[in-house]
Amino acid sequence: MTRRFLDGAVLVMAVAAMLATVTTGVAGQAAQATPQTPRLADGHPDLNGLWYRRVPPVPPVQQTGGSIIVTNVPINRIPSALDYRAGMPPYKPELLAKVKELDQNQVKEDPTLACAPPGVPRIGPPQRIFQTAKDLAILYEDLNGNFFRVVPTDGRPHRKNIEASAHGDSVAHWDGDTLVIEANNFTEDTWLGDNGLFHSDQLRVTERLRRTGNTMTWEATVEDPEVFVGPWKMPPRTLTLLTDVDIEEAAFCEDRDLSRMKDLTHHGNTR
Amino acid sequence: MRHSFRALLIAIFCLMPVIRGLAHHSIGGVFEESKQMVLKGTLTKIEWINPHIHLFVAVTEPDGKKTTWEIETFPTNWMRKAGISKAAVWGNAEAGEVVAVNVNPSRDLSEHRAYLLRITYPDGHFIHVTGDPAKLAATN
Repeated sequence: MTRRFLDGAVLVMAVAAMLATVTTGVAGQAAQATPQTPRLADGHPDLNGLWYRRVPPVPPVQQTGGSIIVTNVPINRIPSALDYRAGMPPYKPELLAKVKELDQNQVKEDPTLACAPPGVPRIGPPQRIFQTAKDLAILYEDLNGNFFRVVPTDGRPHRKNIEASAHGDSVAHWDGDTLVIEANNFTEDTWLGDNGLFHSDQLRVTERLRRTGNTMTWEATVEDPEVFVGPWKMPPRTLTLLTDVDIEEAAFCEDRDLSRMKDLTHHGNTR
Repeated sequence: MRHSFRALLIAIFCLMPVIRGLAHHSIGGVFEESKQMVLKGTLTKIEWINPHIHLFVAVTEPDGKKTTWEIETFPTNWMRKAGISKAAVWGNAEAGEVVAVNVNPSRDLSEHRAYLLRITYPDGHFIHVTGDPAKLAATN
């Protein structure tokens, strides 16, 4: 048992070291360290793979003898999802009070705390991509379950015969080497982030994916004319290709804390 | 799974607030982050679920009363990415081994629930999942 345990810890350390190397290359030595971007037969960048948004794999781990310590301080302060701050969308002034009230009551109001789907864009960047010449599938392993999106890239329009959903309906096109995904047909049941960031069913999300070597940049622009005064451009996130692990089935989600909350202490939901 | 109640609840410590950064959520709404307890008992069940894994520890308290504590910890994918498997947490519980568990207790102690900081096995190896290792209560 201890042996299996150590093997796992060693694996994580090895992956962390690998990612640290990759990140150093991206940050400091850039061009010469960047591998070539692979392409599919149609010439478009190959986006297949597991794209990890937390670098190194969260949580960082230290091994001490036969024991393992999950640290609270990211190794070498490599940027991770924990450092990501999406900021505040440009809400109409008359709606700011509602955002504040929802934020203050987040432990009662945030749908994801009760295992509801996070929705786009809160679910974050793509995790696992399967790509063909005419479409791609994006898989997500989330705390709240496994979710997926099937995204046509061959010019098909948005479907008109499906119900609105948390993750909407997506279509995509290529803008040079950048894949542009446009999603609509959302319910208004999700939030855009932890802090009371509600939206209407007029939500539209445009994501731009650009692969460079073994990293990919994800940018999302959120529009909702019902509640925003203009587009909300989320800060970009850089994803790293992992080749030795794959997405797994999410465990069953069942919250047992909400009914036991003694106060309104904020309940973080990093994704 | 065989239950073992030969364990002993040994101490409650009030310590410095525990540094916390990676947990799925701030636990302050449910658990007492400024307090620590050390439970000694036998794992009787692990529910490997989200958003928190739940461990069940059979404990015999100082007055002889037998209780089962439900202890929460990270979500499953965080454990996996840390290289911590369900089997590693379970250890040799089937044989009734007694583990020492550092926790933050629930704000309502009558619930017999807590949030895991570290679990230490009879041979001394441990799994430390959150909190400042230098500020843990002694387990012996």
